[in-house]
Amino acid sequence: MCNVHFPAIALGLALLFAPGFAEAGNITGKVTFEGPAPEMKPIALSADASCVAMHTDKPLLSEVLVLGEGQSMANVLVSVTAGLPEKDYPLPSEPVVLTQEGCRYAPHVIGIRVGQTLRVLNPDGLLHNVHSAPKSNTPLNKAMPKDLLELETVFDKQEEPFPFKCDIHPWMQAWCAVFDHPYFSVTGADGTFAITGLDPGDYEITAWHERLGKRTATVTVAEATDANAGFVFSKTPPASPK
Amino acid sequence: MTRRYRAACAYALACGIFLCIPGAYPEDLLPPAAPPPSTPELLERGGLLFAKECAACHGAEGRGDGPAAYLLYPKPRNLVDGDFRIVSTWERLPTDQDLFATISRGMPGSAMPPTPQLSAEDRWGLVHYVKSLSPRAWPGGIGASGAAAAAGNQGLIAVPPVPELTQETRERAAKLFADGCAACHGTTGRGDGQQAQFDSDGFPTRPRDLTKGIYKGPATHESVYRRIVAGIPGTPMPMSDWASGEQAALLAQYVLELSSREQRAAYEPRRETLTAFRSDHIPGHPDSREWQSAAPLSLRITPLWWRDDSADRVTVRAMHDGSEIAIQLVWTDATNDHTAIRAEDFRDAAAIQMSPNTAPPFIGMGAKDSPVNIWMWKSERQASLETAFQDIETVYPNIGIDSYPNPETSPLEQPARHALTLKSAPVFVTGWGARNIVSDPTYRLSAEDLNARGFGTLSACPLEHQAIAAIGRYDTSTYSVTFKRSLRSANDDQLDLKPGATVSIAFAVWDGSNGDRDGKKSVTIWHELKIQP
Ligand code: HEC
Ligand code: HEC
Ligand SMILES: [Cu+2]
Repeated sequence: MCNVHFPAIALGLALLFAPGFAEAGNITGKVTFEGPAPEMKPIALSADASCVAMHTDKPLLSEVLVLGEGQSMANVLVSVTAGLPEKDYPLPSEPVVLTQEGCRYAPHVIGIRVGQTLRVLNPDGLLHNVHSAPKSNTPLNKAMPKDLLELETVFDKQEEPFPFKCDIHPWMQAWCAVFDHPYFSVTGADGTFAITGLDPGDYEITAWHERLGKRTATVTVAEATDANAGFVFSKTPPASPK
Repeated sequence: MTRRYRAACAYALACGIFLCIPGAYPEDLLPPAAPPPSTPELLERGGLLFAKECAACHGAEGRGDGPAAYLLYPKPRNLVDGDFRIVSTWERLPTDQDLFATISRGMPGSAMPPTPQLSAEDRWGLVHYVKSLSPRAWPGGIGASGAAAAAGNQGLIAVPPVPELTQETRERAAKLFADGCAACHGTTGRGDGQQAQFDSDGFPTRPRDLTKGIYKGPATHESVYRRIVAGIPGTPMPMSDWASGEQAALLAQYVLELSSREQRAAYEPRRETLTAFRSDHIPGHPDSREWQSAAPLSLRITPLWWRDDSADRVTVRAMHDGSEIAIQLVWTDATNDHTAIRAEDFRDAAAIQMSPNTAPPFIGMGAKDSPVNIWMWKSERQASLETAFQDIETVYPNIGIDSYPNPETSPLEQPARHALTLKSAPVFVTGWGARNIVSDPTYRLSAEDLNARGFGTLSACPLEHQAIAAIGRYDTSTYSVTFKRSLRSANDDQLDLKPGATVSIAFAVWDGSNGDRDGKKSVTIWHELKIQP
């Protein structure tokens, strides 16, 4: 027994007092939309009277493009796509939560770790089917009748964003990307993102939007500082780098 | 006659399609608990059979891209991707038994045909071959070991005993259905919930009308239970694992009760025998009284481009007088009285395909060593095709060109869209086919005698050998067509039919009246024609 415990403690101590750990830095920034913003149309919820009843005060708008003040862009997934050392990053014990409320998925875009639990909630009190269409991971399609309030699943491979949909309510859509590292962030209504805890170094970061595609940037992170990076999307794709 | 073949005949006789007791599947359609293991010999046999019986639709390599694939909806499965629908495990993969059942009974609701012409051993060969096409990991030994449900939600899905539906349990089942299924299948199960749905390849599909009795997997309690719990991968039909156990067992029984055994049996064609009765007088016309003395045989016809509402049966009769044989086809087409240009055009046709072989070649067009003889009737507008074609093109610029039946490429393999002039049969684009047309507006005479020995080999018999008389008639939503030819033929490009002989026979019908475009033909599987001595 002893000879199992002892090395483990020794390793722990060694890590705790290990010299030469640089203090980590962050990448923060804002994503904006340039040009005249297309108007998002209200969704016809007529396929399900219960859904209509949930949105009598305000129509549910399409979430294909969600803009905030000053054309800030929500639902953009920003992640580090190059420059990371190969290693196993500790897995958060908290699940990522995707909820189906008001016949709509929230959040609209999620990032999750390989092996991390995805918890899907159904507070709507009606039947949804949670149907993902990944290419590398195993597709999921599970019915959630009104009494099934939550279900859990995990992904075992990293993967670019793929859709979640509900076949009963065809407008319901969410996007999910699976990472083998923790360095990703989805912009909120104010268009900002924050990727934290990066070792100093040079990184490539990529911003992804479901319709407008990808933009990349290179960022240098210095010790204990916030490196700033911004992205601008427009309806015309950027000229290809070649 | 092999044993299996005799068994199939005995089955067909003992239980005409409507008398069958479904649920009680003929034992060689549903697999035994322990399938034969894959041996190199069995695998090789499977490969040969695949090339013969399956490649036309599924493609030589199984990628779902065979020459007939474009005609089909739903699309033939890409067996390399291995995105299977009929699955019985928690991992949503098919067991060997699932594949065996699919290959044996086909997939009603699609063009995937059953294979009653093959022995159980041959079908196991196909199971092993199909598995070998996909590089995916198969559920280790689940199929092979035949049962024992693994602990937890792994491996084969264990099925509880069949529950009895009492007043009380039926109400519970109805409630479960309302909560868990009705949003898609509709409150009455007619498939009228959310309808605009798509499969994983983006093709439209819709929740099944459960009152029709169309089951792609076996319509047994055990199998339907697994369909409910595992869902149907690649389609919107979700896993309802929330119901697993007693609830899904109730649902399976409830759902099966939405259709009758007869309805379900009608979608599962079996090999049948058509007797050509001997008589002194044989009918020469669809209305001839003589037909009444020939027992009719009702056969399932499957539209290659599936529609729930297309004609699904053709009634056939046959008689001979020792020198001539007459064969009659009758099918209904309720939607005929639409716009004249669509209802009356050249798309109406019917064909009989025969092989002298009781182990016939691929249904599509025969094979090099196993020719087929095709008799084809077309309604009279075909004669003036060129004018009619232009009218139609103006009215429907994107009309599916395969609506113009091309016997040169078999009923299964018709010309692609916009390929009309090059790929359509010359009989349709020249006046050649006009020869037999009579001017009586209700009675038409027009038939071709054609031969094939595999893809692209089909040709019309020389003009001097063309000796088929055919008369078609359309009346109150019913087509009837009578073919007549002398039994014997000395020409080696024509089938010689001796009294007392048995040949293989199949039928195809082009339903021209539907407003829709593509793949308007429906086909039967191979049956047999027994000519009374
Ligand atoms: C006339 C065309 C045609 C022929 C011939 C044909 N198939 Fe199919 N097959 C289909 C179609 C269409 C489907 C898909 C049906 C659906 O999705 O509803 C299918 C599906 C399948 C599947 C998938 C089952 C599942 O669970 O998803 C297998 C396996 C299969 N066929 C094997 C075979 C084999 C083996 C043969 C030869 C004995 C064969 N098929 C001959 C058209 C055909
Ligand atoms: C999200 C929509 C959806 C829900 C919910 C759903 N189904 Fe289905 N179901 C489908 C679709 C779509 C098909 C047809 C799939 C195909 O062949 O393309 C189908 C097919 C079926 C079939 C035919 C199986 C076969 O062998 O062909 C049965 C039986 C069935 N569903 C029962 C149920 C039951 C019972 C429930 C509730 C527990 C249910 N379904 C819930 C969409 C749904
Ligand atoms: Cu929903």
